[in-house]
Amino acid sequence: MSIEFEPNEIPYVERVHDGTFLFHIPPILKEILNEHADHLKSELSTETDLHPNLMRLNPPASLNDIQRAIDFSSLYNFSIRNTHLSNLQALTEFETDVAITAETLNSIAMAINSLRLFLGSELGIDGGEAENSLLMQSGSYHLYILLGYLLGEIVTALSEQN
Amino acid sequence: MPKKGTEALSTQIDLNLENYTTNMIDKVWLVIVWDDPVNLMSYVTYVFQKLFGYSKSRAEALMLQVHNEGKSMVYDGSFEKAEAYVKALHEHGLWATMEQS
Repeated sequence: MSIEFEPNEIPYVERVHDGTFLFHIPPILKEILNEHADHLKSELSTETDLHPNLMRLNPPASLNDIQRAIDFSSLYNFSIRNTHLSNLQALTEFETDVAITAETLNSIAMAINSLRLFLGSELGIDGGEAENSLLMQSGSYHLYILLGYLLGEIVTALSEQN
Repeated sequence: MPKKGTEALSTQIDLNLENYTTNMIDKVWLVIVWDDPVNLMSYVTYVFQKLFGYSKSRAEALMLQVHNEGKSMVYDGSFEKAEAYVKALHEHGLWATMEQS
């Protein structure tokens, strides 16, 4: 998979005068985001917390106290999972030509970060991949980098509003 | 005999509650954020500002500590707040743990 844009299709976030935002992305990219968001929603809904690619979305809350980690998990994992699902829903529902609130844009940022965490686990990103040329040639890696670009654009727009 | 057993159970519960409250109230709890190469530095800074209300410079300093040293202590205080922060950080996709100081 290779994603290429015309110059006028490069994604960006526009702040509207009333404090809302427009998130401009080409239709093909929106379609790809929707597909990946739906896939992750499906993975999160199957109750397989131990799936290795989901571990970054469901990390342990304690390293030196196993019981605390278990207690935290039993108390909050359902709620945390629902937050991830809700954010992914916001990502699939927004339309590029309809203004969205800062809150919705924040949810989209969190969803894109979740997609990166999932994809990063799938790709085996661990900080030492700089010399892995095979990894860098893969379509999934290109999408991973593109998600990082989108997230950076959103964070910049949200940070500038403060 | 049943009464004695009940008393013993009651004492046990009292002791456990005492330990629980001692642990939860008297101790300072730390929230640690751990490095993950997937997380963007700008996103981590943004999350620190948003959740903790830190200034940009303080949030960046903590983010850089995570990046360079592998972890950073981002909060110390009550058990309840530490637990809420860990939950919120997990919701934002950052790996956070809590421990007693």
